[in-house]
Amino acid sequence: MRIYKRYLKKYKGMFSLAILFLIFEATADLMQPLLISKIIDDGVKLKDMNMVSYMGLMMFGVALLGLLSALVRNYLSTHVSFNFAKDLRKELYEKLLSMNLTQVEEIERGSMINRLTFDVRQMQLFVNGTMRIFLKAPFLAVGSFIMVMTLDRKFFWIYLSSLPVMVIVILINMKYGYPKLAKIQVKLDHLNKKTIEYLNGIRVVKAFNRSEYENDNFEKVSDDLKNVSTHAMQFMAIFNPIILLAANMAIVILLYLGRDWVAAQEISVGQIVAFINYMTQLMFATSVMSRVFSMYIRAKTSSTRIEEVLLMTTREESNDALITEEDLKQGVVVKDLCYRYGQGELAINHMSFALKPNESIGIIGTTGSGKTTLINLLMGILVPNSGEIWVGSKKLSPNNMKSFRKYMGYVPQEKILFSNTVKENVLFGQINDEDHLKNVLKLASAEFVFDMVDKQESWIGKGGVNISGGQKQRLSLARALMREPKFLILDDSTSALDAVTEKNVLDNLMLGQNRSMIVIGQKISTVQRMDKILVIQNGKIEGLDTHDNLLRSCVAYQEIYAAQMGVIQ
Amino acid sequence: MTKDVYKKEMSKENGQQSFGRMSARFENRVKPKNIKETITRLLKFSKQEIYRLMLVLAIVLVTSILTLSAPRIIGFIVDQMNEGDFSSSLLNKIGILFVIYALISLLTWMSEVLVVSASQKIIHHMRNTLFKKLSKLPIAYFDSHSHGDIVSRFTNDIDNVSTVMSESTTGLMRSVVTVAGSLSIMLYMNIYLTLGVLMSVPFIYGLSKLIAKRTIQFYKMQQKYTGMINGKVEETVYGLSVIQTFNQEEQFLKNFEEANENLYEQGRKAQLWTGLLMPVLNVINNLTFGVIGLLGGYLVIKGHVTVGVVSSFIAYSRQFVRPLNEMASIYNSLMSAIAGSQRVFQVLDEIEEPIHGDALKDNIISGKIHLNHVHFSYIEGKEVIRDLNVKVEPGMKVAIVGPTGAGKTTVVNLITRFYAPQKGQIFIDDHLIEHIDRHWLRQNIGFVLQDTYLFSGTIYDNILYGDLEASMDDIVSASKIAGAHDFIAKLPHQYHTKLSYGGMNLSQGERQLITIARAILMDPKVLILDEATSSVDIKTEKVISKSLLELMANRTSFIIAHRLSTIVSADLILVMNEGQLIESGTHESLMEEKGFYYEMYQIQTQNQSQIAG
Repeated sequence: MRIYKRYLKKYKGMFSLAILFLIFEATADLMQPLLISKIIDDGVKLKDMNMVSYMGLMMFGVALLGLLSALVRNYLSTHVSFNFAKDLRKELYEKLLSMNLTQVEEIERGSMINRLTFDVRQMQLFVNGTMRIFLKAPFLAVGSFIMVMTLDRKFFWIYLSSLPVMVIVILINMKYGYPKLAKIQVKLDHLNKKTIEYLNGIRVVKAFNRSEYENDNFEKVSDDLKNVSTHAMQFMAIFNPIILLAANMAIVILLYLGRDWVAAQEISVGQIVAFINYMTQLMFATSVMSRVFSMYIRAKTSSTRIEEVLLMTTREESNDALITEEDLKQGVVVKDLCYRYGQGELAINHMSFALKPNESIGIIGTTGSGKTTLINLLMGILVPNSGEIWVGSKKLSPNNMKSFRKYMGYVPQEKILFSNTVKENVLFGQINDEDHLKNVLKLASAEFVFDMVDKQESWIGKGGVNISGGQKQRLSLARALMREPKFLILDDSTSALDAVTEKNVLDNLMLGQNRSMIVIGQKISTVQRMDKILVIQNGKIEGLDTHDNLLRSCVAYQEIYAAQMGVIQ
Repeated sequence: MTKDVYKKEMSKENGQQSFGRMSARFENRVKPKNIKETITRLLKFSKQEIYRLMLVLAIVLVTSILTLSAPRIIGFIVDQMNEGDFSSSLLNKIGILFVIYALISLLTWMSEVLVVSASQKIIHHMRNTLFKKLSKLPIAYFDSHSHGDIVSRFTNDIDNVSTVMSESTTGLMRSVVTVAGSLSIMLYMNIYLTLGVLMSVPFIYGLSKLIAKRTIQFYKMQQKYTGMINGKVEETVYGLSVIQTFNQEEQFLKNFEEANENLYEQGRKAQLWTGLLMPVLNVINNLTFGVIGLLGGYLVIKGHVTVGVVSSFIAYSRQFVRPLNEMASIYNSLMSAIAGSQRVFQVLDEIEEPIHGDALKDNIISGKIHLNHVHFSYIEGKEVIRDLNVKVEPGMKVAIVGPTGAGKTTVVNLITRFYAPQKGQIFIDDHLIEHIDRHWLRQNIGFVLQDTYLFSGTIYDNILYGDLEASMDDIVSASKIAGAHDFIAKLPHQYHTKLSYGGMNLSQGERQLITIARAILMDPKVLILDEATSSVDIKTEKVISKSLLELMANRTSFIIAHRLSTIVSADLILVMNEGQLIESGTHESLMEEKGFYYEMYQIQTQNQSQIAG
């Protein structure tokens, strides 16, 4: 729980204040039985009406004080717990933004979302609880014990006899309840994952008529969740009745033994009534405590899951070795780069090459040869297992990645756009300059935007208008161009474009030669327009040269060429 | 005022709805108008557990009566002691008390166990119903709703209902019985003292009502923003690479913080009001004690009642007020359950994709497809398909070409009935598509979509999706046709290689090959390939297209592709532009026409010849 220390510090003042008022509140509660016993013993028995009304008014006063404390405490505890949750969510989200793809995969998308909402809420409930009933309960328990002691020493042993039962019950609860509750959370993750996958793959499900199959699969996960939850909760259900029993038995024992004590006039009947009242309070306190523990257990599970995310080592921004435009002008050098996914074979196998300033390189290679992996490494989305990337005189590291990305424009292979307007998607953080925007849309052959009902203001993504795959690609190209990048990366970004549009787009791109470019393409006609072509096969470089030279010297390239020419003939 | 806010909230949601594409269709859906209706629906979900719940009610009834009788017995004991009577009847009473207490614990435990299983079953039923509902919703729904938000309904909202159900069901029953019981006993014992206790009732009632009124709307908002946060996180995970390479972390964080702030605000308000309830009720509780002390003391002194009566009255008033408190707090947490279940019911009320029609159901599709003056638009006033007329004979190989945004994928969406045309008819084997059973239709049409999607699991699982009864040999041969076998064989666990979420360990092209294998395994009579090989390198594509040609020999097929080389052999080429069919014919006839197709072809071959030259 060490990550929460910070928060503890932040809300220390308010937290302590809340606890203080909680104590006031509990004290007010504890006073009540005492006052009642006084009314019976000093007032009623002695037929002293003044005493009765005095004590009665005292009870009113104490009750009102209790209310006041409760109101203040309620405000404080709500404030602290909700701020805590807000901060925690923000920190988690911030962490997510700085994670690399491998880390995201580790956590899994469904689980990530659950951690940000469900788990944070568990934590919040717990924090709120500590300032409410949870601390009040033990306080009441201790308080009732002290009060019992002031009544008569005889009660001490009776009171104490019920205590071990309660303690044992709570201990068992913690030991065996925890793993059971932790299991629920895991099952909930499964459910989340299943649902997200279903939603994302809904077209496939429908296309293959697999609704029944998916329903069955979901029901399996859902059954699992039900069984695990039922089991855990039924297990926990035994504890409260036991606590109840322990407290009630203490009352029975008291009455049994009390017969003789009252007969011998050692204690008064009023004291017995008071004891029963305190016993009820103790029972209430203990059953709350046992609930507190089950909440604590839930919170602990959630906390572990949150910590797992927060403790991931992601890059930290430092000021040294930032990459400047000067560095960029000296070109990029890749040295002996290696990368593998998990335990698989090397997806990038000892790659070395250099990209001169303002040079453009086309990358071509068979499916699965490592093209996308290579640029993901260049952009720092993946972290290499070994090898180095140098930009000018500086080695690229997670620390200075951001400064490199400042100059970068990236058009991904997948058509990633966000739920927002066309304009916001293309601007994507750049300053709104209408002319520049229009110009960029034109360069990316995305003039179709102007024909849309709301033009640049049209909403795309979830809940927005339907645009085709090729249109999405052009918008994501415009998004990259909007930044006037010095270093442009296109990952097979023209695959969904028709020949005419593709030609226009590439023509436009070749115009502004004041930048370095890496273009992944399937077609020789695409990459051939670059200064050099990098031919990749099985994660290894087969050649890096101009089209003509490669045709002469590179076997892999010749094969690709033959295949593409053959198609046309 | 509350109602107005509620209404406003609803109309806002309606507004969002009309933002989606199928606004007109969703307009007339039923919405839970008020709390009562929602509770009734919630109860309907509990129907199957009615016997278990009845049993619980019976147990709770007994337990409550026992719990009620205990203070009375203590009262007798105290009175007897007070009178100085320590005979064996006192011991008997203590014995009875012992038995009662033991029974209370036993029965409480039993009812808890029963309630847990009942409520979990109800929730399970609700969850499954919600999921089943999803499978009946049209694609338009999924295209226009945030997935994160839908997921939130499965977890956060249903969890809300579940918590309240399992924690409140017995509580509520016990409270009702206890309140009624203790009230009658108190009335029996002393009417004046009872009136003193009853003074608290209007306060408790008024307060809880006031607070509940406030909380429901905050809870609703809280759930809504939780859904929004879910959606944002989902989108962020999905687009993380873009966010990071564009250095947009701060911007996204800022957006997130906005939603986060809203969630905080609404949640805090809900909690402030709910949190108010318990302490206030506690004070009313304590005040009631004061009243009893005062009044009771007075009555004892006057000789109207005994000390024993006062002492049991204190216990009863506790038992009377506490369940009232409990009911009040249950009422409040019920509000959060209602907010949650309303969001679930909202989905359940969505209009389903119609299945109807059993024309052709038992036949084998021949693959004749006819589009007659078809018009279609995703949003009103913006037609993406205009007056489309196409006749496809069984077994034909049809290619659809045209610039991006011409409406090619939309044609696929129409033939597969993902969307329905606003005007015009589509016939399959001479039957109106609306009259054909949807499942049957999709069983006979296989397609590979532009956006590849693989589920987590193994490669084997994903290909098997095409035909759940297929053998390993079938899968391997389908993969061979799709050109996927070679790379799969090289993987460390081959067909049993696990795909991580989104299949990151495979390249886009490899994923496309797997989806093709999946469609081949299905062995459909109509095959649609929408840019199925766009990310596959041309060398591999060439190998596949040969085997694909063989595969298409006896079936109607549609191919959407930009690489014209893959379509020259088509029986019919449809050239589309801006939603209209501008040319159609074979490659040869279109080349002779020297129109749009000719030009497109020229550009591509020019590119090629540039290489060659």
